[in-house]
Amino acid sequence: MTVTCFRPHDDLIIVDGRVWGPRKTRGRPLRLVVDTGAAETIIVPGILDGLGYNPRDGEAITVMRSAVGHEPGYLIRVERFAALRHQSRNLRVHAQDLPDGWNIDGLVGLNFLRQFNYEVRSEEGRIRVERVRV
Amino acid sequence: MLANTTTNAVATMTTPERLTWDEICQRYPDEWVVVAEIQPVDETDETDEIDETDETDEMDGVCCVPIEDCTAVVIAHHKTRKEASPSVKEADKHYKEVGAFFTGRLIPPPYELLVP
Repeated sequence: MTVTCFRPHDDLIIVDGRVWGPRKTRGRPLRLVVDTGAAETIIVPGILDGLGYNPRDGEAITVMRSAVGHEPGYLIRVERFAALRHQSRNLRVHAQDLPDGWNIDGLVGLNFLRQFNYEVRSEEGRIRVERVRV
Repeated sequence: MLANTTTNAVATMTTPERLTWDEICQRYPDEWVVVAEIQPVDETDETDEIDETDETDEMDGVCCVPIEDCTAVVIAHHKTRKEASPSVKEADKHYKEVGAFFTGRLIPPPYELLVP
């Protein structure tokens, strides 16, 4: 069981994470929003590009529809992704720009979270996470 | 814009100064800062607690201390993430640990109510 703290009075549940790529063995630190309403974990493409990932290596090209238009992106597997004091290897992430004003690096979505049982304690600003054993 | 310069015309780096996150935010408010040599303020910091049954192998010793609890050297600062990207790439050539963070408040973008 791990416990990650966040600031309970912020507008979003912001946690730190890290993603690794072929060009940066120590990875890149991230600031992410925990979003149980997001199916996929999202990382902005600029970060993935800097780590040596290329859209041509992606599994699929995507288009995210929003009220203001269509935003292109792609799905790609990253060597390693960490958040909430746990990590996943070969995790598929969605390389997708976030709307202007979101000064974060991405979202921790369900494709990462579903590996765990987790409890968000909003008042305390803590997320308790336990890996699901299969 | 490179940090630690006195004018925009002279973009030379001086001796890097290690700052806390609070100091960085005060010095570069509402900007994207490119930072390197990120180190926890206190290695024994227990902001993120782990109980006795913690799976310590989960993170392979990866530093997971939030930037708010670290010190770092500011390499550059910019108004937008896009403007910061070239500085990140440049810093990657010289430092093992590089990150880019926004110093302002992280809030969802504003929206308009269509139906009051």
